[in-house]
Amino acid sequence: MKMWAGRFRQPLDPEFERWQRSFEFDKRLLSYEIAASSAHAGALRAAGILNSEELITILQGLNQIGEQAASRESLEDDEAEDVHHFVEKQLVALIGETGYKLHSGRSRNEQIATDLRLYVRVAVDQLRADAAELCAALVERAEQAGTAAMPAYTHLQRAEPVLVAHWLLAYVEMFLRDAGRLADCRERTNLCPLGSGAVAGATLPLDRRSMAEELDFAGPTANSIDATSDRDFVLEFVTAASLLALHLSRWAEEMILFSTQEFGFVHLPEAYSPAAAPCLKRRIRTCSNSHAAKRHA
Amino acid sequence: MPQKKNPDLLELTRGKAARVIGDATALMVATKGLPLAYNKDLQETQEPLFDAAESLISLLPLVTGWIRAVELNYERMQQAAKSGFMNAFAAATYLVKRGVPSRLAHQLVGKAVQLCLEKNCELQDLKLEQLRELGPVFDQDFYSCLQLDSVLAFHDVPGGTAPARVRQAIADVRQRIDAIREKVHAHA
Repeated sequence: MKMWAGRFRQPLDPEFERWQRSFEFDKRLLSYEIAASSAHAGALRAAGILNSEELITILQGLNQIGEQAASRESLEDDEAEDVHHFVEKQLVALIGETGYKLHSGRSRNEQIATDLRLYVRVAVDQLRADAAELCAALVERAEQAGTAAMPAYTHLQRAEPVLVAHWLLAYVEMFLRDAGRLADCRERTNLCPLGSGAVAGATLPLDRRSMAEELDFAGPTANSIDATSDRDFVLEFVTAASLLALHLSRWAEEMILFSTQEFGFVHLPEAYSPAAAPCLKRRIRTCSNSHAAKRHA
Repeated sequence: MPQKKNPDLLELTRGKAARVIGDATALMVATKGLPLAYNKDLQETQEPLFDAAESLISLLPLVTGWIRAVELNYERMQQAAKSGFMNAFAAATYLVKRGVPSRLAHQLVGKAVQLCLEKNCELQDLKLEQLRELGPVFDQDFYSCLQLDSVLAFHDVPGGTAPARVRQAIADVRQRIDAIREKVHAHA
């Protein structure tokens, strides 16, 4: 079933319909969509909208969708508009019309807000874990360096000698701050929009606190208008990620400088440094370029 | 060019930073003009998020591997640390500790450096008589304060490069790293 069949007499222009879909990229939210849908189903049961049999059927169906997706290499669906539509379609295909009951009292606006918060939370934890290992590697190198010294630069001119370890620890400080910023972001992200409805709050008496608890959120969001339109947490995450990327970039730039013959402080590890492209390859590229030039002439 | 080894991982790291910063910019611009509440524009906030997260999640372990694998040329670094008048600041500090006002101390050392440039040598290569011509305050112990070890040891404040301070910093940082590991583990 199309998501909004009923209200309109004319079908959507097929090209537009295909163009406006988000399933191609939001399918990576599937596991969060399933978790959030399960929490919503529990609240529907508590509100008396589902009986316990229906709840069990829906939860089993959702579980199955997750398992099927995990066993497949890529998710393809010619009709799914977005991840929410995909889950609903799959659920109805698996358990029949009861599947439609899952959408009672909720909106895609709160669903996507919830899925994205769950995604950001996982991404924060992953990046923090990765940043910690990066710092640990730098600290190991710092310990190995012992009391070896190097020049510290200001204005890229030799300024004062410092310990190599001291220099490495400067980067550790940057990456630890990045990890800290990500943790701050997690704290503000960790609230649950479920029960916000499309904008004004759910029309069914859903227990927002227990839905939040089920998804390990610290609590429900405070305002339904804000919760359905707020993307601060996305911005905060990507801004914190930008700073992390910026620090990595400064580090990379310094390593590139230090690996030049002019400095010679760093020997590039071969496992990460391809040899320059052999001339043969370059010739081929030149060749095809001249073909292209002729075609355009 | 068969002699070349290119820093591809490093260059791509710089490139990925440009991309993630672009994602942040795209998000700001996408949301800055939206009236409340949900608008379909918000669909466009998903891909920059995924792109930024996934770019970094795939990059960080590679950088960690690179850091473990890289070979540092301590000899060359040490050599560079010993030349180019990098003990000039320590020399000025020596004078300050003997009561010379800081500004004058810097002038005196500046003159000594000038002399070295004429003679194409380093501060420690100047003879005591030559130094005393600049000012009587120089003494034999001036030379020991110019050695790399003492120059490093001079910076003996928390956060400074004196070896004992750096050892302490390594211990502190280890604790902070472990705290992150524990917290992330608790969330998993």
